Amino acid sequence: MSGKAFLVDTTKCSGCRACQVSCKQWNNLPAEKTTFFAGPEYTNPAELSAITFNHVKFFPIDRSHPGKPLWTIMHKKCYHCEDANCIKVCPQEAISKVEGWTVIDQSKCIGCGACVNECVYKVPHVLDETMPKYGAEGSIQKDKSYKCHACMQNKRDVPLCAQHCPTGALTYGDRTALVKRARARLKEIAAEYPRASIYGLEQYGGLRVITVLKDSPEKYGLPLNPEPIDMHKAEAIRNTYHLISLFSFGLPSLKRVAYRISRSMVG
Amino acid sequence: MPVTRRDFLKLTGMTAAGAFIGGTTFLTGCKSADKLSGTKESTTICPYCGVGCGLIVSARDGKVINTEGDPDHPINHGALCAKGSALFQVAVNERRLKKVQYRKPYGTQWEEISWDEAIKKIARRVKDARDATFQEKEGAVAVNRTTGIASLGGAALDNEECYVLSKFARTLGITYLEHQARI
Amino acid sequence: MTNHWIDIKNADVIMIIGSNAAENHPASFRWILKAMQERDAKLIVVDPRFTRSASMASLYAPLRPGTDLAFLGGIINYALGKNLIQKDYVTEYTNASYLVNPAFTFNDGLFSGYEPGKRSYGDRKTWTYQMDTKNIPKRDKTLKDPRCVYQLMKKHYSRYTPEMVERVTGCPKETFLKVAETFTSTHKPNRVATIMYAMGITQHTVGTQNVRALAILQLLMGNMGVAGGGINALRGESNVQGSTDHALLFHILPGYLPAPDVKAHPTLEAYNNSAPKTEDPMSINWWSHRSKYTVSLLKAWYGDAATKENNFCYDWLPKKSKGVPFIVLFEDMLKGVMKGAFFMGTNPIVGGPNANRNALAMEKLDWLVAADIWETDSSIFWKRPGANPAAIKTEVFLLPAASSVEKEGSVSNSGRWAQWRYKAVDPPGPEKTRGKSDLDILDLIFRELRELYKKEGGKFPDPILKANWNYIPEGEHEASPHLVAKEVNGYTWPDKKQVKNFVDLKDDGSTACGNWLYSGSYPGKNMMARRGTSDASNKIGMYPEWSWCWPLNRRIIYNRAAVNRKGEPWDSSRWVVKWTGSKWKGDVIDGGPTAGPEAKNPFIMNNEGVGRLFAPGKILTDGPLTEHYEPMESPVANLFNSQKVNPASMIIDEVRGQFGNAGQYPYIATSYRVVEHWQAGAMTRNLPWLNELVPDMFCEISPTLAAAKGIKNGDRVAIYNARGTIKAYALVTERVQPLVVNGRPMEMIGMIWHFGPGCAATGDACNQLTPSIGDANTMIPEFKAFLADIRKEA
Repeated sequence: MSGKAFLVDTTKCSGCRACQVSCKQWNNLPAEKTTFFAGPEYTNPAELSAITFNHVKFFPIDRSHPGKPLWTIMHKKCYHCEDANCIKVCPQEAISKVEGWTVIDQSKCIGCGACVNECVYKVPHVLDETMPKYGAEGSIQKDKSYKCHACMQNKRDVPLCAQHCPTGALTYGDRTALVKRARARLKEIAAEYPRASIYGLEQYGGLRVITVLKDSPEKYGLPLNPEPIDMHKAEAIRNTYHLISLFSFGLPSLKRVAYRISRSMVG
Repeated sequence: MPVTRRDFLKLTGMTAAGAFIGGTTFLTGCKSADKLSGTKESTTICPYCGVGCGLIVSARDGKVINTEGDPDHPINHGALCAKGSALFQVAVNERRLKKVQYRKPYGTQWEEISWDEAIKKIARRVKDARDATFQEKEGAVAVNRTTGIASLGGAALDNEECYVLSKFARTLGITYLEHQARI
Repeated sequence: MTNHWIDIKNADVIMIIGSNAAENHPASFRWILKAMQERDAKLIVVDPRFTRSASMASLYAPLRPGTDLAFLGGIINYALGKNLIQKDYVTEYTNASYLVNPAFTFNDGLFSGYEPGKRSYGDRKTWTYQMDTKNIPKRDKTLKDPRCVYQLMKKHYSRYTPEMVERVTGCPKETFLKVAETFTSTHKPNRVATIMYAMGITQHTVGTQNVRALAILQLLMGNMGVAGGGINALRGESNVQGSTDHALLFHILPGYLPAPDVKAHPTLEAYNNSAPKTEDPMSINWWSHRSKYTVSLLKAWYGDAATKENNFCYDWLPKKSKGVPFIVLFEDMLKGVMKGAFFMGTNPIVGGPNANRNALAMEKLDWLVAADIWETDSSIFWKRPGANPAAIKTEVFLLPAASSVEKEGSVSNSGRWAQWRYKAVDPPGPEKTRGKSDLDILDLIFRELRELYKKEGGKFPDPILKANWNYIPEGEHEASPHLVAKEVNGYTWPDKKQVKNFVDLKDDGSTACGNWLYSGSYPGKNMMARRGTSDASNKIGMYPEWSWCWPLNRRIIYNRAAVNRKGEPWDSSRWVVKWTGSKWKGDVIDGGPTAGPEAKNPFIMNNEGVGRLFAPGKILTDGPLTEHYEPMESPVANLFNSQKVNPASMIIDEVRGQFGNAGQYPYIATSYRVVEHWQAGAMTRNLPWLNELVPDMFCEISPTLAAAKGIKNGDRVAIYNARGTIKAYALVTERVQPLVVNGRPMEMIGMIWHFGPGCAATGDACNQLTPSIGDANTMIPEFKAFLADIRKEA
């Protein structure tokens, strides 16, 4: 798999959350309203959302870890699967690959939620309320699905999240080189983190976000062998949806219902 | 051939030096991002902690469009933390004051007054306080000080401002002079 | 910082103590990780909590807040006891071999000369060296004389055993020993440790002694002056280095000249005579140049009015009769001493100790001028929760200020680099009413004041009428930072030709210089605006062509200590300077380019010329060696001696009744910051992206304390002591653990101090709980260790 990728090295992440903020700035995304902390430790908001394309999760500390207490802080964004469920199920063909990255074309998106349902990583989200952009003209339209586009929509040479990472925990470059670096890193940290692992080499035909983890992927809620959705099944869902959605009167809420019905009909 | 931001900044190293002479910022030819087309770029240093990371500020029509880490800065090489990454929201923020706010004694809300009125009133208050409390001698020793006025703050000011504040305070005879370094 | 940020990459051991650099100085971790990855450097983090810095550490050591001196004394004892010191360095470049006055004693926590009634050490006349007939301190370079500093230290620190360290600090002995072993591995000339510290070290009643202990350790290891070494104070604000250099403090004038004092400096002659002296031909004693810097400062301020005949207007400088550190200043404000105050970009109602008391003090002001980019907690003190605006007399002027991207000027980072910033845009709003730079604001007020004195006369008008104050370039309307920077650099008088650097300064009135330390920053060209990215010949990451650093663009200070007496680097693989036999190569050498390594001692700002393991004379108020005392509010007795608290720390009578004990408030409380907010919060609590990450005031407690108090994660709690009660969310985390102190588990309440009643994200201020007591030398408040109790809110 050639082209660009991100490497997330959780052994180098100090949890400063520059990535989370930088993404909001480059994309003029508004802040979320939060109270206290929505997730474990300092995690805020709880997960990715339609206006949060980069997220940092602070896992509870593991004091039983051999050697020293283990505190994992993990950057998460769209993994940009090579064989992406979201692309396959989108009835509008609004999601496509641009230079290897999975990008949603909001002008085509109808907010049906198909991509949301089929993403095992819970990455894309449909926006409920139209919101003004922060610090720029225009707004972010409701009833559209949003997620990380690897700066393909507001193009730049190196995505700001990776440029701003002060510790080198999030880097951007050629995937082949990054995979090599991840493997080398795994050897370097073997003594300190005996259960360390790499995630993203094979899942969904290979991910464009490779993660070096301090422990096994399951510890961080990352499925080892997720099943890509079957091509025929995806097509059947799309066909059924096209039929049922004729009765949605163009209303996004009904379109989402239509999608759920189609999915359950196809099974 | 498209110019990357990093190459571009290298090319403009000389322009940056020239920038201070003319007091203007330098133009980018950066084509890699539409968002930044037609912006003027200038360099700055992060106003938060004492690391002193470099940033590039891009502005168009007198408005800040983007702030990001300066790739040529030897300390941060283009990186920033969450606070540095949020600098944009200091420049572009609806809470920024656009007029002098004035609260009269026992007042319950702000009023807006002009700069001219504010400066005149402040100078009057300073003079009255200084004249009422000024002490020229303690025993036989000249002390030339006022206990009527205190000055606090300055760690977020530029060096040139700190120096002038230091000189301002001493010229008036202020000895109640403190700032964040003590706390 | 004696060294600078990039230099951290040259270290073999990095000890972070009293700092949480991953959160408060995140970019530093770029260089820490580089050292770890490329040199296999070890990162030691010593902190009461398992912080984001600790998560990156090779070795994490917990300790009870306020016990750093026990911990560091333990390492000093480990090094001295096992002879893990860099012998040649210690013998040549420190005062280890100096013989101390036979009358100097230390007994049960008290050094000789203590006056209990005054809570002070009086004249400290026994804290001195034995002098020879030439008035040079006597030395024994074999280090065997029982009165030499080295032998006194061996005895003094022998009480700091690993067992005592564990009993007092709560750090398990095995963990402590690992830290001691790792750190002292750098006593070898080819191994170096850096120490990174911040307010966790300084904000204690023993803050200065904490820093001293770090300096002692680095001197014993031979880690000062070398690449990858030094003691590195991590500055928390972008220009707190510069604002200190320019003396926005009661006790100094620009460039660390002492502020004139009625008793010590009644005349210019007395002032000049108070400069440190030496008879030792090996000592450079740089402060012997002080009169040149003083007279040049007076010329910069008073211009033509300052003449030799009138002692260059020395008497125009205000003289102090007492110290007025922040805590005292606010006590005096509460007494109604001041009529008005300027707050220039500061938020003391959140940032100062005992914040409720400070708010009451502000109500006593007739007027307040605040310059800020938006409303802060302090500028709205008159409408803070619980206050009745209709009963508060203070007239408030809130002046809109320009933000850092809306004006031009320089800021100095922790590594002493003065870096130039450019103006990108105007402040927001209509031209007539919008914000102005602080420089412009001060210039406008000063010129208006001058007009008033011209018109009306008034008390002692001369300084105001005759000050050298011309900052508006011809044909322009705003004060120019370039004109200020040129004055700071210095020029000849009266023809105003820029001087090259402070070596050109004179004490005859022929030069004017606003701050000798910055002389060289603008000798014609603005050196602070330089963007050269080439490294120096020693290739250690000094980048000497990037911006400019004081003094004289010297990137590592005390760099004469980086070589042996022959001028050879202790470690040639990361050399800072070297002597070729006739000149120096590498960094700008300390103390002048002509003196060779055998001719002069390296610590040029000390009149001995060597590093002070023992601090003689009146340098410190609380002892020439370090000693552990408990914080003012502590749950345990002092196990090292029968003095509970630093016997020289000043206690203000008015707040004596507010100190609590463990019977009333059983838990150790401490305060700190997080990466998502900054200081008193005024610059971050209005930024929605940061408020998304940390929206509320919170405290951190262990699961065991939470269970004992029936508190669950996310519950609202009240934290309280005699000074106040605050509300917060509770973050119950395994990262906070009770520590076993003298056999008893002790719980802790950790609090962020970023919140206050103003701005977009509001919350109670932690400093409503912190005590009005400070370090014996600096009076920096004891924010890091006090007592409180906690309860769940219904």
